[in-house]
Amino acid sequence: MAYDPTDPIHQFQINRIVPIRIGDWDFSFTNSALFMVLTVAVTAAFLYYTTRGRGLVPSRGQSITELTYEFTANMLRDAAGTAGMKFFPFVFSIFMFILVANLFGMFPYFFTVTSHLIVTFALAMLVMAVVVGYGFTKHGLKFFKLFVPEGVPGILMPLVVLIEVVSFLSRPVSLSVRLFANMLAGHITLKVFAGFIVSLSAFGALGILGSILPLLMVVALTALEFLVAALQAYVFAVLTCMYLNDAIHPGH
Amino acid sequence: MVPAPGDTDAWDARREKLGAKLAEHRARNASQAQKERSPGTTQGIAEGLKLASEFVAGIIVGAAIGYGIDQLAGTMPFGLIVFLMIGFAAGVKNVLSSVSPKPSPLAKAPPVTKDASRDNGENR
Repeated sequence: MAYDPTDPIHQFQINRIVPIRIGDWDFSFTNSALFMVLTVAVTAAFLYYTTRGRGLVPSRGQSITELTYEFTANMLRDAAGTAGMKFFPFVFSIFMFILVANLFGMFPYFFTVTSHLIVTFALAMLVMAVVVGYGFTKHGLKFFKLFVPEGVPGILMPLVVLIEVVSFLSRPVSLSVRLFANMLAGHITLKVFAGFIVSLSAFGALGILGSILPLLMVVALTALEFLVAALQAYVFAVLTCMYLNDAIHPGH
Repeated sequence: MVPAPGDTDAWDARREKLGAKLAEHRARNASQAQKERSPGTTQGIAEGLKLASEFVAGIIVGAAIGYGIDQLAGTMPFGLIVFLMIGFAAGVKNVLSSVSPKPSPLAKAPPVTKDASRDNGENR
């Protein structure tokens, strides 16, 4: 199949950079893996180098890091209370990873890690595993109080508990699908409008004049995409905090 | 410009002027924040997408559970029907609980739990 430069889906293709096979499994180092490594490396390097000076009067880089720290800490404290602060490293890592991965996707020719459902679903399942694991080790069987709301008449109880369980199970789905769909849809829209410019300008002078409209659209969409990138990282982190709150204080 | 150190009246006047200026500034900031939070902005789109995905997720999970039960028990349409309805209810519950304001965990943290007693004892 010939490569079409305006193909909006091509940017999500996974390529094997270093093919590795172990038995029947494909452990290849792909472009997705490369950008995950880059995301972690850039985040860690940035956080390390900006806080290395430990200035009492922070430098510009240090202020960015301190603001991110305080932002995440306040978010966690609001949602889960002071008892939730032991999960701060977890929430901060998730927030920074998604934020930087989303923002990396805004570079032309870069791969957007979070535009693949399996990546966001793995992140959501990690959150759920922590919630369920911590809930059970801390509260034991009392963790099931999460599914039993107060003040429900006994005859309705089985139905309500069933609904609560399904609602709990739907959390990783909604958490992962939301992030994935936002990133996928945004990047496809950007590419489609950018493709209009290319196709329209093939029609001579009138086409080039007409391609100003999609160009304006692309500029506006780029700004919107930056907002969405930050917003979705924030939403993911806030919901993580709320679910952790359920694990810390089940039963209300 | 700066009054003499002993001139309390001049200092008071200066303080009052500064206070008025600050209040005006704060009011302007507040109204700005109000404007940014108004509906119709991209914040609203994000909120809408969030609620829509929560609702759909409930139905998808319900349908998946129903289909799985049907495959295991061989009761083809019934598990799907029942769990689609339960999934619908779960989706509605998801939307309701994400819209309704959450009580702060600090305000109603019970003092009986082990980890809560530490921050309760000192602050009260």
